[in-house]
Amino acid sequence: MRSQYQLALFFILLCPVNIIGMWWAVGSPLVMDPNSICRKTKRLGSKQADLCQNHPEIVSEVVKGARLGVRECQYQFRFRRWNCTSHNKYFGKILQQDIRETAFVYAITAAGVTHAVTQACSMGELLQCGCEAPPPRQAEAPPVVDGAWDGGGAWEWGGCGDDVEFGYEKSKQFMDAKRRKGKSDIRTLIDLHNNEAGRLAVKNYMRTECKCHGLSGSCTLRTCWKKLPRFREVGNRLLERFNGASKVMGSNDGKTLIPVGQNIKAPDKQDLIYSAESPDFCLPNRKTGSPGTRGRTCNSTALDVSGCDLLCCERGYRDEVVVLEENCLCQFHWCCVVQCKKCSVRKELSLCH
Amino acid sequence: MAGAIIENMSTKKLVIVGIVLLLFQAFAFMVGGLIAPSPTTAVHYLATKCVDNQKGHLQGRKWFMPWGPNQCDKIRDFDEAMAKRIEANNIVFSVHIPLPNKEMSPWFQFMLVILQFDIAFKLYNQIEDKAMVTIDVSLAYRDDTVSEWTEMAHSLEQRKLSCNFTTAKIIENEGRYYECDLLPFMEVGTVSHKYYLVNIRLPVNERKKVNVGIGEIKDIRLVGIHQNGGFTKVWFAMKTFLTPSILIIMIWYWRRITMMTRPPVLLEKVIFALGISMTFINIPVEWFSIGFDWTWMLLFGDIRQGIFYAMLLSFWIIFCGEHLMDQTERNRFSMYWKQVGPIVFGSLCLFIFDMCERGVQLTNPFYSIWASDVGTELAMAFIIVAGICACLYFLFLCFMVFQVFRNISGKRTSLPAMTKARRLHYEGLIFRFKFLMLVTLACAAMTVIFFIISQVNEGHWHWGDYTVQINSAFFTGIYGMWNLYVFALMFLYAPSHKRYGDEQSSGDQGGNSGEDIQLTTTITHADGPTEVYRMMGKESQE
Repeated sequence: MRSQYQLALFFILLCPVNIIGMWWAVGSPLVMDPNSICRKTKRLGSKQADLCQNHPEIVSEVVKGARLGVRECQYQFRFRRWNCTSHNKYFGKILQQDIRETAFVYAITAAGVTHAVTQACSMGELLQCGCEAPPPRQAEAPPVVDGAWDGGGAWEWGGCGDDVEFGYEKSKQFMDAKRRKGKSDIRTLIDLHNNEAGRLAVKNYMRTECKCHGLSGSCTLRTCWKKLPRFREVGNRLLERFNGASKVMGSNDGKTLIPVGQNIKAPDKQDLIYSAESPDFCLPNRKTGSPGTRGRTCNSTALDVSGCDLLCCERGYRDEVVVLEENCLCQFHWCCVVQCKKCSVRKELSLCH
Repeated sequence: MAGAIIENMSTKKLVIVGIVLLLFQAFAFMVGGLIAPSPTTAVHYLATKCVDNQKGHLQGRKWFMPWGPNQCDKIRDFDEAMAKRIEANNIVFSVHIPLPNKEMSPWFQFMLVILQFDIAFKLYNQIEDKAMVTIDVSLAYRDDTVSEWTEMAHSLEQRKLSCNFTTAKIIENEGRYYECDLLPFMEVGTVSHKYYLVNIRLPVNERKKVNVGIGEIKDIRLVGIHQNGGFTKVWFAMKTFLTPSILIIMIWYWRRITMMTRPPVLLEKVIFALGISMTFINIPVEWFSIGFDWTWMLLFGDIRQGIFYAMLLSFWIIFCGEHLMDQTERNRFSMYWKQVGPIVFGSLCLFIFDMCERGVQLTNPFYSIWASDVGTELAMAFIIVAGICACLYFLFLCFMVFQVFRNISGKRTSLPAMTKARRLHYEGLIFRFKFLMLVTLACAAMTVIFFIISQVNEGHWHWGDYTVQINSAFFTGIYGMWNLYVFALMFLYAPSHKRYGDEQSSGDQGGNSGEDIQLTTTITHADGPTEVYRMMGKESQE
């Protein structure tokens, strides 16, 4: 833990002043706990510190969400040269660039936080969901005397807002918190845009479900609610956006982004954007944050990115045969009990040189 | 000239009445659209997975709280349970209704809970065909945050899993989720307590094949639906306002009828019955649900609605029948058994169905007729029979309306040849019929249009700074509309008191009473109620 702390401190001192977000500051979100995040964000001031102080339970959900995002990133990028590995110092480097991968990581962690906070709301883990801000119609509601807390009257009068709005807001507060107000550069704009794209990948794809419960179960009375999309679907959607990401550059005044290239339509809110081309990620490189592909397993028959030719950057690969012990002939229960036999399975693996 | 008030009213007055009614109608829509919130709220709950460490040797039932003080030992996912060697039987899914910092209120009227499983796809642990989930559910309540939980219901229930997997069932797709249908879980007719706690277990018994082959359950979700307190308040206010209005016009109407020398005819009685059933719906007995724990209120509300609908449908049939002008004597309820029969039978079917569902839920809130195969078939049978009855009814109704129109066009050609009194008599009949036909069609069309709008739309429109709650506007507007319909019916189709007065010439369609007497001899008493009555009365005097 101590070494991580030092590492994080190292980044704080190293990084440019007004980078937004937090992951660059705390190193890898996978290994962080709320306490250490909050210790570090104290230096950052602003809304994050505020959240840390007043709502530690939200911060712990934020961490869960970030982990969810990084796990999904690793799943989606499992066949790519850069596989979203977050266990070493290279991850921080990636986050300081303006390449496509950075865009994806920002988007998916923002999406993960939105998702996790919303989910926590429906588990009752958070106290402020939904009714925190009085809905705009509250003015019309008669004052309720017996509501012992703020928003209690609103809840009784017309229910509370959607949890996803709360998740969206919290994700925004935590991820978009700027170090200094008013000062913004192109990188900040790009990161903010990608964060927003990630959050929208959750918020705009809520699934609506309805239930009829009128007279004799007829649809004269029908209630609908919104359900979070599966996070895998969010990941898939963001990967599509990653593949179709637009390159942008700053305008002359440095306040807006304009797409690079002619006849390219401006990216919409849900598109991912980047401003620098990615390195090839073939060889380890401290400067670009590329861990290289040496030792990665590849698929010797596939022709796409996961194929050995592309993944190993034509350095070639070696075949290894490993004998694994696997479970087989299992009997399952819905939970917790799996009665299996052990079988030995021979597997051929191809590893990059 | 006598008859219903509507015939004797000047066009100007009729227009004024119409405008006043329209204003009330607009008001009813606005009350729902602008003041009331949406009718219901759905709250999403994700069950917390608790571990029962007691191994069941505790005598008293233990309740597992998902959060707050005294919360249970939680596990995040089942990999953790696997690592800790916790058995499926010791896992309790716990949901506290409502979410923290909120409390339920009697104004919510009812609570409906839906169950949903999150089942992940595993190549070697798939959901079997016709898989049934057996759930051990218990419900408890308390009224403050510190006291013990009191058990409300406990039951072992079965639910059919109907899930499908949209992508290919290959190893790469492991970890994706099945799309499962919503399952009915629980329905409570009153919300008289502040806090509710649901504990669900999924016991496994391999020998009895209980909960085997249900896939890998990852999570249990509940969706709690209740009526919004604000909507309930607006609704009650509306009912409290409408009850005296309909009651007063009803008394006024009946007084007019009893003031006449003849006994009331069938149509008058039916209109009165319609008024009674409307009042029956209107009487705001729901106020009691705020103070008392009357779980049957939901069922009672259904019954009241059913009676009103049956009455309204019967009224349309009888109204058409009484305006047939085909020289046959009707005026008896038994004449309409063929048409009213399907209504009664259909309503009875729906009543039995409702009793089977909501009736049984009075004792076991987890009961659902749709959970078992036999129940599903039975329920479908009732609904299909009711549907057939509805079709039959509408065929009869359409046929009758067609007959009336045919007779009207037949009479039209011979109208100029008739004597003045006779012509006025028929013109009155035709006017009354056409007027009601038009109003009814308008009301029905409004109902259908608003129903469709409220189904298609998301529930609210933003209109400048205002948010219009379409669903609430639909309920209050349509409810107000049928109230106004019944009100207008009783007002306009009440016998005109001008018949008692001597100012024969004052109406627009001034008539001659001398000819009226002739009329009784020239035509049979088969016609419209009001006209016929007067004639029958005169006849009996003679």
